[in-house]
Order: sequence, then C-alpha cells, then structure tokens
Amino acid sequence: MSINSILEIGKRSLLAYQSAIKTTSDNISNADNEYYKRRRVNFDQLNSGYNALGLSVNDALRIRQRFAEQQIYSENQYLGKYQSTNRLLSQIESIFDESSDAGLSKVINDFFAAWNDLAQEPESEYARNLVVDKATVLSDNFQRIDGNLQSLKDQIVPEAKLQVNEINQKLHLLQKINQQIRTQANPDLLDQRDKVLDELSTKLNLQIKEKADGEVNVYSDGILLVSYDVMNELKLESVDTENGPNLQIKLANGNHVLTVDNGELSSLLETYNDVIPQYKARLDRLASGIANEVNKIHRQGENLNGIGGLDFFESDIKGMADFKVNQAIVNDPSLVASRRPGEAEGSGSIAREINDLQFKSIFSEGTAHEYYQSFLTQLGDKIQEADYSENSQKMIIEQLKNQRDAVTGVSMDEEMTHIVQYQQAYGAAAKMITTVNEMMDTVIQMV
Amino acid sequence: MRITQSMFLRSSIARMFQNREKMMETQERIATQKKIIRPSDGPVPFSRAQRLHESYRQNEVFLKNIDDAQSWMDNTSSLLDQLTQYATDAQTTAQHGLDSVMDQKTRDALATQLEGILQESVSLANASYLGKNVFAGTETKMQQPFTQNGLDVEYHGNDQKIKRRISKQIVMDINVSGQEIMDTHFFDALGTTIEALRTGDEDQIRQSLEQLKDAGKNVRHLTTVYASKINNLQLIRDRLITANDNFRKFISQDEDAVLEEELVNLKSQQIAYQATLQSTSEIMNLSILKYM
Repeated sequence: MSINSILEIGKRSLLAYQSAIKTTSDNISNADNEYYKRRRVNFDQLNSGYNALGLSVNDALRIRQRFAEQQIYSENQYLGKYQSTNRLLSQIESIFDESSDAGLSKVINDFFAAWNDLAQEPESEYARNLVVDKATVLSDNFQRIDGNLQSLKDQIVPEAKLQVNEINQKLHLLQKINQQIRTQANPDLLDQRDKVLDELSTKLNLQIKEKADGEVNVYSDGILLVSYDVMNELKLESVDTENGPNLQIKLANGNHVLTVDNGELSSLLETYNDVIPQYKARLDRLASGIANEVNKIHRQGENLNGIGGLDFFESDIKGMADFKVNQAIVNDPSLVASRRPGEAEGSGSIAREINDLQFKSIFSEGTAHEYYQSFLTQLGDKIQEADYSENSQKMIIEQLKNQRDAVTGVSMDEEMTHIVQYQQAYGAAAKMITTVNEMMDTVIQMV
Repeated sequence: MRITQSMFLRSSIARMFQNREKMMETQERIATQKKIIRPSDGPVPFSRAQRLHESYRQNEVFLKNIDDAQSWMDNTSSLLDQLTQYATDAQTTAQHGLDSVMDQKTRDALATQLEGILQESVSLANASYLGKNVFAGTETKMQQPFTQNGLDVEYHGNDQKIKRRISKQIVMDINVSGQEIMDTHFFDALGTTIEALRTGDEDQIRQSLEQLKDAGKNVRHLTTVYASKINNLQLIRDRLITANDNFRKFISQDEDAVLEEELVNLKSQQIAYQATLQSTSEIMNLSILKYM
C-alpha cells in the first residue's frame, strides 16, 4: 500500500463524482421532457471505466417500463381514432342546424303548409306562387346539404395525404435511428426513438417489436414497414367502386392494400368511404321519397284551366342533388294542380291530398319528419359515443403515462438531493487528496 | 409511487382543460338559454323536442284553418238566419191572404210583397264572401248560381262540399250547397203561393200555405244543424289551443336551460377552476431548492 495508490483512489473519486453530478444535471435540465428517461448513476460501471455517462441500453429501468410503453402505443391508436371520429362527426352534425328557422324540419313543414293554403284557396293565383316558392326553398335546402356533405368529404383527401406524408417521414426517421443505434447505442437516440414511436402510434394501427440492441421493427397489418434495412413507404390512392371513389392505403412500391383499422388514418378513411356516403344515401332517399309521392298525386290532378297530368317536381328524382321543381311549373305557377279532373274550382282535393302526405308513413320509419328525426338521433348517438370513448381513452393514456413516468421520470427533489450528496462526497474526496498531500509533505520533511 | 415533474404537469394540465371545457359548455347554455342545441347534446331529449315542435307547427296550421273556417261559417250562418227570417215573413204575409175580409186587390198586393221576398231570397242565395259563392257548392267562381225566370228558380251550381282539415283526424265540410237550399222547396213554395194569391182561390192558397210552412220548417232545420257545426268547431279550436300550450311547456322542459341553475353551476365551476389554478401554482412552487 503506497501513498500514491491513495492519491489514485482520490483522483478516481473526484472523477466519479464529477460524472455523477454531470448525470444529475442532465436529468435536471431534462426534467420537463416527456420522452426523456432518467439516467441513473451506476458506480460499478464508473469504476470499471465503462460508459461514464451512466445509463446503458439494458438498464433495468428501461426494461421495467417497456410494458407500460407497449400499452401506450396500443392505446394511442384508439385515441387517434376516437378523436378524429368525434371531430369529423361534429363537423357533419353542424350541417344540420335545427335550432334556427332554416332547419330542414321547418322547411319541409312550410312546404306542406303551403299546400294547405292552396287547398283553402284553390281559386287563387297567389297560393300557387306560394307553393312554388316554398318548394324552391326546400330544393335549395336539399342542395345545400348535399353540397356541404360533398365538400366535407372532399376535405378529407388532402388531410389524409398529409397524414400519410407525416407517417412516411417518421418511418424514415426511425430507419435512420435504427442504423445509428446499431453502430453506437446512445440513450439520447433511444429517447428520440420513443418520441417518434409515440407520435406515430396515434396515426395508424401498428405493432412494435424492440430488439435486444434497441433497434425497432414496426409492423402494420402484418407487413414490416421499417427495420434496420427494410423501408416500406405508404401511399394514398383513390379507387373507383360501384358506390363512388374509395380511399385506400397501399404500399408505395406495388399494389398491396394495407388494412387500416385504427388510428387517425382509419377514421379519415372510414368517414370518406362509409360514413358520409351512408348519410348521403339516407338523405337522398328522403328527398326522392318526398318528390315521388308528391308527383304521384299531382299527376292525377289538373289546374284551374283543366291542364293536368304534370309532375310537380322533375320526374325521376334520385336524390338531393337533382331535387328540383318541374321547370314548366317554375315558369308558369298557374300549372299547379289543385283538383281532380271534373271537379269545380272550389275543390282543393289534390292540394289537400298532397298536404296530407306529411301525416302519411311514406317510409318504413314513418312519416318524412320521423325519418329525418331518426337520422338525426342516430347521428347524435354516434357523436356522444365517440365523445365518451375519446374522454375515457384520454384518461387511460394519462394513467399509463403516469405509470411509466413513475419509473423513468425525473423528480426534481430527488435530483437536487443527489446533487447535495455528490457535492459533499466530492468535497470529501478533495479533502482526502489534501490530506494525502500533507502526508507526503510530512514524509518529505522527515528526511 | 414516485411522483415526477412530468406526471404532475400532465395531470394538472388535463384537469385544467377539463374544468375549462365544463365552463365553456355552461357558458354556451347561458348564452343560448338552451340546454339541447344539437342532437349530440342529448339524442333522446332532442328527438322528443323535435317531435313536439312538429306537432306544435301542425296544430298552428290547423288553428289557421279553423279561423278561416269560422269566419266563413259565421257569414253563412247569418245568411241562413236571414233566409229563415224571410221564410217567417212569407208565412205571415201568406196567412193574411186567408182573412175573410180580403179582396182581390189586397191579395194582389200581398202577392207583390211575396214576389219581393222571392227576389231578395234569390239574391241572398247568390251571395258571395271574399270573392267566392257561398251557396254554389264547389263552383265558387260561377257568375250566378241561382237564376230566376219569372217565378221559376234554377240552380246551376253543384252539391259538392268544401272541406277543411281542422285536425289530424278530422276534415270538416264547411258549406251549405245550393242543392240543399233547393231541397227545402222554399222557392217552389213561394212560387206556388204567389200564383195562388193571384188567382184568389182559397183552397189553393190554403194548400200553398201548408207547402210554405213545411219549407219554412226545412229552412229552420238547415240553419239549426249548421249552427251546431259551428259550436263543434269552437270546441275543437279550444282543444287545439290547450294542446299547443302543453306542447310549449313540454318543449321548454326538454330544451330550455334553467338560467338560475346554470348560473349557479357556472359559479361553482369558476370556483373549482380557481382552486385548481391556485393549488397547481402552489405545488409547483414547492421545491427543495427553496430550502437549500
């Protein structure tokens, strides 16, 4: 045992505590970084000279919270989906504003009320003008709704494209990180990787497999998207089907279709491909149902001059887009029929029958009003469901993140305590060196 | 369990946003005075309220129809009352013709009086209301539904009923057609009586007076039946008004926000939010640094 060896111990202590303080200060400066996993000071490794910065890939901390992280990635997918669905459905709901006088319910009601007025005054020209007016308002309303649904649908395409671009960017980033990790594993790289994975997992359905050295393989729908050497970008394509254009996600090189059933992307696709076309179809049925039933009755009637057999709306209306009053009647409202052939001018029988359509169950769900109401109610139900799912999903993820942070998060107070501890140890080591120095002086002076 | 900075931040921010969201919803309810604005606010009360709105609107249309019908029927009713009066006058006048002190000159004068009543009755039967013939059935624009040729009265209108829908279940006939007036045989009876007075034959006069009496009874019957229809209409009207009052009440129950309740909610949410903010900032300030 020589004095030099004590000096050597002193030197090593100083260096060790310096490193420890550096690690602690790293932790403190990253206290608010959600993706930062705290570094622990491991004095064994310090003394053997390996990885003086304190955290290796196989550190027990990282392993312990891996489960929570996998859970978070999986729940993120649902969160992305519910959030996006809630937002899109709310946008659809805002098209149908029933709280004002412009709501479809009131407009349909006004249309039938105009026929009632005609039935009261079948001899009047004014009543006929009113009927044509209210019918025009109704057709304007239907066309507005149709247009709004269409533009909502159109908006989804650029949004989906943006999402796909972001996904591709992140996949590239992951591949770069994978390659860097294989050369030199580094806790900062691992933190960055976790950040990218967290953001990616809200976008589409993924399975993430972490390898022993920290590289990560990302699969979607069973297909490997990215690994050390594999990179499969995604692309958005529109294919024509019998129900209109459908959006699909495919692998960029080739034609393989990816089934996207979770994440924001799935909600965008579902809304474009299924939800909006379904709603449009239901409303089209409402429009064509009204038009056809009115035409059926109107055809049997004649106007004051005995001219009859005309359709009130254009013939063969398929939906909201072509819902229009017969042009001939728009040009000449006196052609509106009010009576059956052979009856006198005071009889408003045809007009009364058309007015009575509002009480008739022309759909299996009931009258025109009841049909529309059941549509709105279903929409409202769906939105409530999505809202509830989104909120409960947010809470689930909050809990999981808390669990993860309990293990890997930075606690300011803990780190500050460590700093004080290391500082004192540093002071003690320095004192030791001073003592050894004095010892040497004493020895030298002896001689 | 270890509590770290990031956990704390995450929880605080999430709670703050939740509080603010609740406050915003309460604010919207106060500003619009409605608690159900769109289907997603509550699908069940929304659809209930919409159904009530629809029934209310339909009832409003029925009430309008009833008002129109009432004014038509009131007018027709007063015309019928007038006709009844004419029938009574004709009876009285014709009765004089049987007095034994009558001579032909007086009888002729009575006949002329009756001719006057006949003319008045025909022009009453040709009356129009708001531009439409009252007693012509559905030939509402015809020029002259009743024409008089000497002592013969002809009817050219039809016997169709003018109908009005006054409730979901009831379509009411609101007119008296000219055919019904012809069927009282009032004009025939008048014609016969005038002839009899001109001839001066007592038996003839007596017979025609009987005819006149029967016709008078028929006219009175027509008037009475019609008046009861008007009463019926009034009952339905009252029922619909009560129904609509109730609908308004039910709609309000489902749709309207109770201002007092919402203001109290807003106040308590504000207090909760303030408390959250205060406690968050106090806890964030706590750190071991202060004590070192």
